[in-house]
Amino acid sequence: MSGTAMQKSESQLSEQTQAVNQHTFTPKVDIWETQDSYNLDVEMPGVDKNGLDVKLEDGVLSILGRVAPDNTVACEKVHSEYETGNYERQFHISEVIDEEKIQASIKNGVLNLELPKRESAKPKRIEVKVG
Amino acid sequence: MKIRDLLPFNWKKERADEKETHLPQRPRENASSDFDRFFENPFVEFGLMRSNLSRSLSPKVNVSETRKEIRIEAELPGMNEKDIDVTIENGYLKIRGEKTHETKDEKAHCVECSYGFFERTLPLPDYAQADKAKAKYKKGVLTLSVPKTKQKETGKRIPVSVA
Repeated sequence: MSGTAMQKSESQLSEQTQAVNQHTFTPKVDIWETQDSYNLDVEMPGVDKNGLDVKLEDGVLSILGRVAPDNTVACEKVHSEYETGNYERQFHISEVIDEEKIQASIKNGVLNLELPKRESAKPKRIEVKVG
Repeated sequence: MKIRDLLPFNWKKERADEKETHLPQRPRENASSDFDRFFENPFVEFGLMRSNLSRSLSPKVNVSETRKEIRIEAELPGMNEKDIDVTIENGYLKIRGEKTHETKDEKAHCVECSYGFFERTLPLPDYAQADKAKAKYKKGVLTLSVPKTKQKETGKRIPVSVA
């Protein structure tokens, strides 16, 4: 998996999103690596904790974000630059990542995933002794 | 007047048409004529520049109107509400702010999100009550509601009398 621990794969519509009959978007993602972990920031404006579904299955991390339908009174669209809908994206996770310790949190429409590296994958300093 | 006519995005459309139909196109004589044309009609070049700049952070905006209010929604994921500045001045609504990412000792593998300073200005119609406007930031979406004044008949009514 050439260097990076994750590989992007654009997924097709799942049954869940098709049922709602809404648009599905691929959210924008930032991937940052630190010494101990990989951090993903996934931009999903309009999604909160209740609309979020993060799954890990067979080394594939699936993110599904649902936007609550707009229940406001009849309004006339005057100008539209974006449409609302669900967000979906999948990532292949390599063995470098400790699957048991993955943590997710969402704040202000951005999902943050922390994927800690296995102890064996972390860089180690080898002490040099004087012979 | 409809708010649609006041939106600058729609003005641009009309202007683009005008540009094609009304501006006389000079035949190209030599290379320097391109240079001259820039000064005659610099906005053509600026128009191009703006489309290139749109790749930087520029929040997408939806505007809708109900009978009581004008609602403006802007997608601003991952902001701190303190970093969003909304003002209404002289009939113009301005949304500005800065999105930052704290870089620690990190290596970027993939950066699709945009960061930095942004500003958007929208003209409001004259029936918008700026002093009663409300803004809230929730789930990464900024929602502004500007109540409308009761539409009065504008212009002076002239009574018609029988001669």
